[in-house]
Amino acid sequence: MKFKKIMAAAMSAALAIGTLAGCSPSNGKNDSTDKITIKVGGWPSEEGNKEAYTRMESIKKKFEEKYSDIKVEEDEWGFDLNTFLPKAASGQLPDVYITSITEMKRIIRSGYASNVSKYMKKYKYTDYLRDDILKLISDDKGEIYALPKFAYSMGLLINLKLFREAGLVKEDGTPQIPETWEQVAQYAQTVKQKTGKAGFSMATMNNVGGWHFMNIAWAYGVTKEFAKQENGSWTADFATPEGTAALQFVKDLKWKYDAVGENALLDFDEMYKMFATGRTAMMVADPPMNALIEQYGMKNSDIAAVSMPAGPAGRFNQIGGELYVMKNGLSDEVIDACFKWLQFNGTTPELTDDVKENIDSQYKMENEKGYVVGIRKYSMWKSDNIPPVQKYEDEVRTKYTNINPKMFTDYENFDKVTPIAEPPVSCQQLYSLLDGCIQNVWTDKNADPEKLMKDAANNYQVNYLDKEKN
Amino acid sequence: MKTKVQGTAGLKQYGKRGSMMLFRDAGAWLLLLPTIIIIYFFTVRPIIIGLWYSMHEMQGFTPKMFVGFENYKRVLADTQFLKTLMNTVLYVVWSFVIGFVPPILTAILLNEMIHCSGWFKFSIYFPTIVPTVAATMLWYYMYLPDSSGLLNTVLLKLGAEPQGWLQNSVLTIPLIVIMSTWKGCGSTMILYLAALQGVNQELYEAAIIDGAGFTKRIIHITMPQIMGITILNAVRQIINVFQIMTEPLTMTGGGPDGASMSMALWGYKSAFIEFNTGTSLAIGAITFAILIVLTMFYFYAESKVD
Amino acid sequence: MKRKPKRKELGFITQVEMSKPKTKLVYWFMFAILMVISLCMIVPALWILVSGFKDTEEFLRVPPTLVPQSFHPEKIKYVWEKFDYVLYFKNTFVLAAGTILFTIVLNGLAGYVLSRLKPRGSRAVFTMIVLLMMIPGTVSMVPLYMTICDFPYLHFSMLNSYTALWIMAGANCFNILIFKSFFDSLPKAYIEAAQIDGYNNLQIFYKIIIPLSVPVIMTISILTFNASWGDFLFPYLILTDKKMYTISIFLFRNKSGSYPIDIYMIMLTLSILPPAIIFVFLQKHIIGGMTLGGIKE
Repeated sequence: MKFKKIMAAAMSAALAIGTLAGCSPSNGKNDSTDKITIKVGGWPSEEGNKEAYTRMESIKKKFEEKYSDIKVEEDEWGFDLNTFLPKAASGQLPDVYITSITEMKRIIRSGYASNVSKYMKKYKYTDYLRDDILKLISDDKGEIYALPKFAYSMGLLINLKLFREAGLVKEDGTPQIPETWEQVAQYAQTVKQKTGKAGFSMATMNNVGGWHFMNIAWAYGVTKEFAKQENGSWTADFATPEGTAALQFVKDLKWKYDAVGENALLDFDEMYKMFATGRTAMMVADPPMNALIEQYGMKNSDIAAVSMPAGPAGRFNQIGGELYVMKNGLSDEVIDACFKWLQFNGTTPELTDDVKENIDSQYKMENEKGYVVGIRKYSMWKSDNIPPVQKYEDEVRTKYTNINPKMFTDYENFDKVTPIAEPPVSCQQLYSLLDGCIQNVWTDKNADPEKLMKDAANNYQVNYLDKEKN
Repeated sequence: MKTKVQGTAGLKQYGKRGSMMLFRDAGAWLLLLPTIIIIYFFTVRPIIIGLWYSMHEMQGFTPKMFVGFENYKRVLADTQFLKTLMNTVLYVVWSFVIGFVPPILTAILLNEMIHCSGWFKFSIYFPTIVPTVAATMLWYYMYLPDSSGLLNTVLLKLGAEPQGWLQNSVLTIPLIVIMSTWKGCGSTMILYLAALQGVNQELYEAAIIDGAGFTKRIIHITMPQIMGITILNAVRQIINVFQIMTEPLTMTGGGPDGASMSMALWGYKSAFIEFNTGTSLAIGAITFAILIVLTMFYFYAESKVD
Repeated sequence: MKRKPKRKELGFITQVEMSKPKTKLVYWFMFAILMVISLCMIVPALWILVSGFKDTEEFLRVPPTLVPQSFHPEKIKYVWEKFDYVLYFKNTFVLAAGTILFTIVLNGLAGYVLSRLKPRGSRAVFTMIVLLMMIPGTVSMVPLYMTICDFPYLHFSMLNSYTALWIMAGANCFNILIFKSFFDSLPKAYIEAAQIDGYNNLQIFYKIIIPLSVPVIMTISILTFNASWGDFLFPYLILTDKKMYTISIFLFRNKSGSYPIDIYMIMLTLSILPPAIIFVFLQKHIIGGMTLGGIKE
């Protein structure tokens, strides 16, 4: 300790000229005028998505009429890991930005989100939101740092075009449902043999592989936290026969069934593109996946979704969602104004006329754009305390349905599956290690899943779990 | 600047001329000032700050607490450390195996050409002007593991099995190095060419009179003439390749399973993807220390050459 | 290409020997090796060029075609119109132009001061510059970025502007050294003559030094242009606003996903086009400039 102090003193003396405060986060800019300005991220761009843009502009106009003391400023920046830190560090984040649940832990840790517990209570979100969702957006002390936009439950997405070509559809046009992972492998093999296209694809880069792999691992019996907690310290718990079996399954997809594509270094976008352009028949995803339609021009009639397949241990799927986060360093008034905006925009358990109108226009637009409208979404609200907004949304959705509901019935049966939230400790790092395992078994025919899992567990233990004190 | 002016005594000694020189010096320093300021803020200060903050617990870009060598311990204890360091060394080794001789060979051959030398210069220098991202993507498509990659197209035509190329963890690093050799060969070749064109032709004529053949002439005249630049390029290459980042970032993201992860890419990912600025700075500082040692070797080599 | 008289003036094979059959054999053997090398250099780029113009059906055909059977130059128009190439080109040009300006003015001036004016104490600056040229950037990546986010003392941000990238060109030690050694190599006689004619330092700089420096300025400008056109990491970190993207950022951000490979190949081709054109017209300055004595270290 003494040594540290001496060194600190010596270094600061030597640095008298140079050392300065680093990037200090700038505060919300609600000074000068009496109007509160909030900068809202994820705003649709006029060129990119005309319909969404027009809709948001009209909501903004109505909002500013109702709350004359608040001004909404638009910001097109949507969450993107590559630009997040630069923006955050320089205080350039929008006041409200959208991110996904998986990113939340590192954002909380690095201090780029405001504590919103107070407002979550004030606006009654805590009464209605599911506990597992709340846990995902809180820190260790139970303080809440985000407002959920929507939740999703992962499922298996099917490209019907390829299923039809491979003869894997029933008479009524619905796909044959792979109930187990083994069946997924067999169907995938059939697709590959009949069409030459990959039967199943999995992203293997940027932590997506590990993220999706969770579903398989749980089905094969890996503990849901991927680690055990004893006396406050964590031990990795996936280098088990179950973990090995799950990875062996992934390996078999390539070498035994020859059912996946040649490229084993796929990122998320690449996987989407493969699916949307008919180069892969199945993938793990969180329906409804409108990006497939918006970005890659897939037809909504070519998409079907089924429940996450079962493994020896049962049927599990990962839940996740998107969040609204208020950036760090905002004043109370700004945060409050943000909440008002988000409520007005439709994220609220309570139902008002404005909310009704906005929900309606949302579904109308999605319908007109040919998105998948009409499938039941996994609800972020408690099932024993269904808020009025949920009921209304169900009605509107039915009204604007534009797909054959039969293509999604199996997926919508959420009771069939046990939802699990992502692992609590350093999950992105865990995903990254599992990415490596998947890349390995798909590029090396002689890879040993047992050893890979052992190494990954060891790395997870040494590099992350052991560092997780207190 | 042999005469050193010391204080006022010097001024007196020089009288009017001395103060003129002072004035002149002030003007010269003024011209140099912008450069010095820029170098301080954009080169010197970041290094000092980086080393200093690497001993802090960082939250985002803000130092929270002085922690001494905690970050370093973390990095050194990381199971990724040795593997990544070895990878980085492998990049350097492969860059010598693959990339060191071609520029020299090309320069020597090109220096002899009286036919098509314009075309040769153009074609060999051309890759240098391709932006790095474009070059990496271009090769990414050449190496594509499915049948649409150029290399696999060729293999299929020849009736051979298509390969995984970058996806083969043994081949990843050499393949990335091939790409950067393609990209960098031209500019290095030019340096050698410049050196070769400075060779006194009379030396060759004298050698012919002594009856020296082509090989002897290359060994005894050409090679010694470019020895200096060769050593400098070698050290420069070590230093540059040791910091390789954009290439693996674009082509493989460090995969498969960390097989192409380099120290610099690790540092980049720690900071900008995992938001662990402290770890990233410690990784940077360790690489820095290793390279400083190599740099000292560079200066040793340079003093030898001069 | 200018036709030069085919006379050997360089290299270990001399003009006299060229008539011997054995020498000819050696010469053409070397020619063949060089031809192979030059093809290796050019084929990858050529492949991208022709593959991109295949029609999509041919592109995806199994087995693929090595020599394209279809050629669709109109695809380039499609790509040009689909993406905002005008913007990306303009941005990259603005970035490169500013960088060149800063390089020439600041590095040139610094080189001149260190080479000719040599104020007392400048030797230390020179040593520092040589040292810094060798110091790796690994540890300063994050702090440099922090400096750009929030400039020390003055607290302004240079994110989403080219300013920081331009200014950083002023700290290019390598270019300073090139300028310095170029100025070192200028014959003193010119300057002395000008001094006798009563020119002051500034006049000497404008009337004598600059005209003499045209070749080195050309060379460094072209090299800087190329470097700047392909610069990636810091532009990528600094320019997060779509409207500010340079061509490299655009390529990187669209590298996976969104577009079919043949379209992406045309995107690559287009990105190489401007530097390629400049290179074709100005290549003698690059290759000639190197032999000025500037880059012999």
